[in-house]
Amino acid sequence: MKQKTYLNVITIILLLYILINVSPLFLILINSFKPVREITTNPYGLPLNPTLFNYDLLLGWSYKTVGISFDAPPLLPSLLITIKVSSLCVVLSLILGLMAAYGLSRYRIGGNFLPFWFLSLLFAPPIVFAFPLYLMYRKLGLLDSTIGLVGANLTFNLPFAIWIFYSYLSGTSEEIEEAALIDGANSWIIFWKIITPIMRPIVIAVGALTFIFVWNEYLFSTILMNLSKTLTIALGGYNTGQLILYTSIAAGIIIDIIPPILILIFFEKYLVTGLSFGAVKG
Amino acid sequence: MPYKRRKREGVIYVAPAVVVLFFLTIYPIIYFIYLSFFEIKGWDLSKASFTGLTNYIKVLTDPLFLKSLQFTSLYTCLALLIELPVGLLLAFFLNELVESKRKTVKPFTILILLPILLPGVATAMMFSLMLNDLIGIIPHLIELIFKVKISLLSEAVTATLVLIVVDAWQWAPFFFLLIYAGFRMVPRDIIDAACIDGAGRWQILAYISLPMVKYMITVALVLRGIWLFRSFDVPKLLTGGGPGISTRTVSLQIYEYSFKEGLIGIAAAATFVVFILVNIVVLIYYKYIMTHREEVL
Repeated sequence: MKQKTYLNVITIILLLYILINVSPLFLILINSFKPVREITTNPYGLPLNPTLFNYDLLLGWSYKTVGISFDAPPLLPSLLITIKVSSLCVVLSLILGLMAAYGLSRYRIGGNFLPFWFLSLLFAPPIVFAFPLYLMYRKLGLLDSTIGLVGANLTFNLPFAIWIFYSYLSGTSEEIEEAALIDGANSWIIFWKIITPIMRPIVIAVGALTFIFVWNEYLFSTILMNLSKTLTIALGGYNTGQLILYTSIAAGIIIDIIPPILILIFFEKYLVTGLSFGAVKG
Repeated sequence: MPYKRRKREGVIYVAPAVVVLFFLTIYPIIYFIYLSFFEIKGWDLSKASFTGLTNYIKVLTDPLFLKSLQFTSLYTCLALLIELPVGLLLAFFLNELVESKRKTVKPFTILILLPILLPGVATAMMFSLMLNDLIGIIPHLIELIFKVKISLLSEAVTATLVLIVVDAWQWAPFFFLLIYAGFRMVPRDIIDAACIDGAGRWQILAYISLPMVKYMITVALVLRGIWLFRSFDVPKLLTGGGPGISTRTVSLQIYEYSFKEGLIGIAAAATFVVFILVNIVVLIYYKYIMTHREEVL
């Protein structure tokens, strides 16, 4: 095959793949702008009477009725809880993770054992922690609390942050820091003035990924949050079998995927390094 | 080595994370292992009675649990079998385009990676809408092409296939991501030298690029394997483990034990079995990356 035809063929194959990737999202997007009843007459085409009704329905504060007996629970309270939990989790994972990675890689605290422990936490199925945490939270009154859910999410996200920061730091030179130490600088100053700045790109990557991981989390929220539902729980609670809810569910899906997509677009470079670095190094 | 002489100072940095993770993981797990030796009815822990290893024997002989282990393993293997070649081809093709200096490839990466970052719940709900028997587009397309009307989620075989395809749709790009990163690291002059010696592009792929991304492929397989093994959200929302129990994963089975049936002791024993299984894999994997990662990076 000639070089030019060859390149054209693979470009077409890649474009076809991208079409498969994007078309389900496109279908859901156009359906989210249809009036409730249009879905049965026009399930695949562009909306004939575009409307924002579905978004209004979901983002209002109170229950609204779609049809005679079908209710769509509002998503706004869930949206706020999810933003709160995700942001708190990002802040805690970054601070605790950076500190721990610094201690592990520079002071060699815990030798080989601690890094292995963090790696094994990273791989443990969340179901392993979910019920033990449920029992513990029930005793402590932490069920349905933001802080409880943040804690549960830390069981994965904190080891993730530590592991990536640790691998990254282990590959950097200690010379500047040692010189500073000998000159009498205090390690806290070194941590903030030398370590944190060189880690900036990887910190952004881990922060963005942690936000997405917590945003997407489902298992812990199902088990630990009964009354205050996160976005994924609220969305997962809709019955997809009811045609009358079809367009509202479509709008819910779009609301749920906007933040991850925005993060992908704005932080693409960081995410790609973060994901591949994290995986390859650990 | 000034750092080594000040070990006590280093403990301050590691301590907060270790304390937090101790209370969130070690303590609850030990408590749960303790519970696995008791018979507990409902959620009332005060009525627990010691039963020794009975819960473990019950779990390991429970056909439901064994069936869920079997299904999860099958699902994991089949999904990896699709995701690896798809990801590999995507990575190879995009790498060829980049090497040929075409300018239009930049948005390709984002568009290929898109599904990875979507919430599993959103993916499950999306496919659930598209599989709707009355107006879903997938049954509609199948009817157009094959002239048959089928309800994909009501047969064990097709429901399993749906789960595998949905997982491949979302996660094949992960293989692409790692393998592509690996391809980009293959030194240009080695490939140029092979070209001068008359090697074709498939020979270069088979004898130079593939061996160099072997590490990436292993890493991707292990990570995805472990993630697939814990699948919960997509199977729960898309098939609910059904029809019957045909697509019930291990995580769903443990969820059934505890929340649906209130068998806490049994759930604890099952959890511990899974925990051990995963940790054996992690231990082997840890040894592998520790010995291999230096030679690649």
